[in-house]
Amino acid sequence: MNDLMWFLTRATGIVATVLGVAALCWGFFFSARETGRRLRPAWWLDLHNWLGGLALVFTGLHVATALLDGDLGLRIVDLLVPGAAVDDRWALAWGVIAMYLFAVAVFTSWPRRRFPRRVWRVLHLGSVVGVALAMLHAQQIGTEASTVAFMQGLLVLFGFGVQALLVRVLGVVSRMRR
Amino acid sequence: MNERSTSTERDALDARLAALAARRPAAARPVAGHAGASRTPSATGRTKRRHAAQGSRIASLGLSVASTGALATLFAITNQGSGDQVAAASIVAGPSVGVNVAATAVTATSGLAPASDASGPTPTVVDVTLPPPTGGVSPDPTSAPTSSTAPVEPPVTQAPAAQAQSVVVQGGVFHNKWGDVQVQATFAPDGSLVDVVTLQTPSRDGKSVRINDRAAPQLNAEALSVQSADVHTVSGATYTSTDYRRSLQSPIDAARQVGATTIV
Repeated sequence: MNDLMWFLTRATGIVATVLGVAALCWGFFFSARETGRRLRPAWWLDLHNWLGGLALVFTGLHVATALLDGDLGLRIVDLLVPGAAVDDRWALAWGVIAMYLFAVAVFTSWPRRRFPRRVWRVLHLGSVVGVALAMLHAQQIGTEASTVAFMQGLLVLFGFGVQALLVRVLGVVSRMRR
Repeated sequence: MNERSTSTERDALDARLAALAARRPAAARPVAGHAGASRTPSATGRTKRRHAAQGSRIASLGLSVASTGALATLFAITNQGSGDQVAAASIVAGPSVGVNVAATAVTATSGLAPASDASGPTPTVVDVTLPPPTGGVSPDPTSAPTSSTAPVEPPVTQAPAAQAQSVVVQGGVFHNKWGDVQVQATFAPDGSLVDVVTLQTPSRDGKSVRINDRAAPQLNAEALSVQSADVHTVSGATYTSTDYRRSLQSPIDAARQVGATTIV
């Protein structure tokens, strides 16, 4: 049973990170208006919202299965309070902070109109830091971090995220010049 | 004339709009709603949400669940379970240097998994400085048993050469979810266990290092104290303790096969 939870912890962690990066890319391409002509902007926005929510769900599963694996010796407080863990304090803290940043981005998207635009934007862009921290968490504490394939996959994901960010930033710069 | 013409145009426009409205099903008329989604009135009058990326949503959910299942299965297949032996015990110093102990003999005496199932590397023979023989009898390597099919529990008197000097045996390597465990045991000429060294313990992360730095000396001390592999589990180091017992049992069995000890 513990081994099953351990396998699921690792699998959900990887899937949550991939979904987080995908949501990030969809959001950046949408906001940069680089969505092409084939697919409607509404499709991009809808899928961006969905991927973000799905990333949060898989993050929750990752946390739950980690808690259920008794061999990991994690307490609830270790998984909810950044820096509370005795072992691997910072590696776990990055993961906990990333989870909160994802949650804030998702839960503030529904009542978006109740927030001032600037506040909402800051809260939403926190998820970019969240994705970066999730990757750092995976690199520092991931069981597969010692394997070449995992690190290559992580680098590819990082590359996708950076590319989407660049598209967004360059779009803003070009609009400002006009 | 002008007024009449405008009225006719308006009538025509209204008629055209009515015709268009009739052609368009009522259910397809979007109502303002959430960004990226729309609400359509259903037959019961309630609004039903329509998502712009409904198909892609289902596809991404399915892909995520399938990926999780596939990854978990892959981890289960590639992961060797607790207690799997990845290398057999090997005598590294003494009258039978280089002997890899027969897997069947180890299995018969300790219930361990046969080494023939092992996929890991075989331990290499290393140079070990031997303590001087206490009995004043020089060991005769040619008379030492070299076959891995030595009797499981030979009487001590049947292997006098093995009794003449200390025997150092590297235990089998056992793999658990945190890493590998391997111990090395030294047997005195009188067959007693005089030294146990932990060669490998899980050290993938800081937590494992801390746990095993604490557990290994305790396990070594207890093994020497009880003169067997039957040591207690160190709290917080269950996996290491279990595989420590298995790894220490393998050199004991190996040494017994060559008549270097009578410990069981």
